[in-house]
Amino acid sequence: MKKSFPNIVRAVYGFIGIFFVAMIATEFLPVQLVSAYPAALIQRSLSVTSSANGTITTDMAGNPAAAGSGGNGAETGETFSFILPQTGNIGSIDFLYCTTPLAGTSCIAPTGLNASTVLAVQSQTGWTDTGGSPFVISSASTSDIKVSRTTPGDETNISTAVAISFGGLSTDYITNPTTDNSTFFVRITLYSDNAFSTPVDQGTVASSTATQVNITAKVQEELAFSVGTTVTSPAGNCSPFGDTGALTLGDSNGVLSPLITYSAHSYFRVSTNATHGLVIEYSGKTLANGTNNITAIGTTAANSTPGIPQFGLALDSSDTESGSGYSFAYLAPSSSPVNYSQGAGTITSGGTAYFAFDTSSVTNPKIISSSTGIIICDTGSVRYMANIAYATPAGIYTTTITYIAVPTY
Amino acid sequence: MPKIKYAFAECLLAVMIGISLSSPVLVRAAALNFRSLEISSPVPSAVNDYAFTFTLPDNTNVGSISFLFCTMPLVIEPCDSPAGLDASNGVLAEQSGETGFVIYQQDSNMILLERPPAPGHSEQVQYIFSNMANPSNPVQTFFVRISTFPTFDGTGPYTDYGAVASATSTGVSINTVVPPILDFCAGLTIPGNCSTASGYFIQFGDFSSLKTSAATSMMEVGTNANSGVVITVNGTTMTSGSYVIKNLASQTANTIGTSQFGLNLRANTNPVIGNDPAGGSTMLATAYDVSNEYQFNSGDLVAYSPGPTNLAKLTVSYIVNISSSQTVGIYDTTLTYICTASF
Repeated sequence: MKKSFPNIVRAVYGFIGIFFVAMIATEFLPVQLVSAYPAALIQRSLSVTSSANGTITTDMAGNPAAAGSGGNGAETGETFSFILPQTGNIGSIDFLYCTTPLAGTSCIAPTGLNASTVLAVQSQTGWTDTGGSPFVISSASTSDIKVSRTTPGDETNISTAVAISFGGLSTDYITNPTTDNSTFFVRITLYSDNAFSTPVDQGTVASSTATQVNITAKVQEELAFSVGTTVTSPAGNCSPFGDTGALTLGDSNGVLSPLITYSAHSYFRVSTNATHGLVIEYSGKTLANGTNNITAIGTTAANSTPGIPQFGLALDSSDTESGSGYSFAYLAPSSSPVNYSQGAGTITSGGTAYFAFDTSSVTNPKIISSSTGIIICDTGSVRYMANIAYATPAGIYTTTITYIAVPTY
Repeated sequence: MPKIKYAFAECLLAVMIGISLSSPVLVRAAALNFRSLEISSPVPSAVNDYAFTFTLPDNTNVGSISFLFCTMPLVIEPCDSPAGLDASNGVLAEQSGETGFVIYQQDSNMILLERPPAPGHSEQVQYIFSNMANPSNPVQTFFVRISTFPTFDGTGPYTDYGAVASATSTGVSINTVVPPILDFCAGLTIPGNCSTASGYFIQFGDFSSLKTSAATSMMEVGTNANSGVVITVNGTTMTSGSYVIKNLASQTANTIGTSQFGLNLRANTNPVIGNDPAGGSTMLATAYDVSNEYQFNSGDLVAYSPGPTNLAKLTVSYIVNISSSQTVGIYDTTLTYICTASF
């Protein structure tokens, strides 16, 4: 009795037989068949100019961030870099932006990402491109950039990275995904032809938006102002004067003479971050003893005349006290309408130093010095000068001159 | 079906309106610009004027302005009142720019101005408060936090903000002494002050009954003596042993050939000699204050000042006449001028 096999079994055996015959035959072909799968790009990366999300164009203070800078996620630039896995012609490249990396799977465009504003290839380096032409934009859509060569070029560099860049300009840019901390992928496919038909190399790179770190610091209004008569060093911290402000004017016993002019100095020290400057004002009366007083020298700066009652003040730029006295880097003596800038010089009769004093300062403080901006640490030296006449009534003459710092922030 | 569509649309519209009404309005406070505080006196605890000046940054409604006095400027920090500062008696003395404000509320470190809310203007404003007491610390930087509000009573979020600073300081106390001054000197010449005085010897030469011998000396005096000075001349007439040239006991004109010794302090024409007093405010004694009239009595007052006088230069003119019977001899005398000041 003849045993017969079912048709399905015969079909299986037939397929197996054909498979083995084909296997044996291919071993003896003169040329090995080319693989149908693209090779993997090596050491591939995506460098972005900004990781800010695509809605951000300014810093937290509202200052515009330039296109292509770290704070501008709406107008970014991107550079793709990789090593070609094999030599051969390259005619086109496709950069496809997706939320997942695997080639061949469906591609969902990252929310908010927009590459349609890419107008040109900004740079392309490392490519040998033998016999070919440079890459140019073939098309740019929301999530896909295609570049191609008019003539495919032969790539022989498989040892160092090649790169290609897009965007980074205010007129040519890529907008990042609009969600913070959002990873996105770019599937890169290289084709041997310029019609995006024959893939030869492939790889995926990843990048991510990131929440911007906004750093806030407050700088408060600052003013340090002190007045003294004993000069002390400002040291490194603009140390204030700490004495009582007592000042004796005259000879060693504090006595004036109709024959000799005497002077003495007080000091003020100031620092401020007032951006619109600061003025130093003085306020006070002339020297007085009851109803008797030593006549103020007036609002027109004048020099000393012994024997004539005079009381005046002026800033003395020569009184530097080895760096602890007069030191104006930001302040300037007031020279108009009343000149208080000429306190340096001699105080003999007709001396070279000039003084002024406005008696109305007692009710309307007068500006003796001012700055137009901040002051790190300036010290002013105020020189007081007094003369008396023979007929000036005897007595103890006093006055208090106060100084007022008025910063404008 | 249409009813269902309308119901859905109404529901959507209601949700949208609800979202719109419930969304917080993000208001960003702007900075008050060019802001400053000028105090009229920096003396600790002094009661003085505070002038606040600043520029409003926008045209939003302004109903109230708060001035909060603190040791630190930042609005996010607690406000510690500067020790001694007292704004509770402050009075709004002047206002410019945005006006119409009155003090709504105040205490030791706060003043709140109010007015019916009205649009502000981007302009400089100034508010001056009088009767403000400074902090009591001798060297005290203090800050004033200024805030504007759209409400009249300072409630709700502020619109604009800025801090200003000022500082107390004790000032410079200048002491000096004007001593009792009496500057008096005598000499033949005194071209400047007393330090330039020189000469003390007058040589008349040979007397003659036919001519007058004349010479001068000088004095200079300055004083701050309240009751002034008196200057006397002291000495004898010219003598030679027991022989004398007669002094002029009263004002007498120069007479050649007559024994005369006298002096005055005026410019004379007979003979031409002397000068009137110069400078100061001294006065001459009547007996020595007439030109061409001479006198000499020891102890006579020759000049004085009723009060302080600046330097006065006095020229003393001497005349000597002899008669033909004058005994031969060498005649001399020493005159001493005494200046007495009464302080």
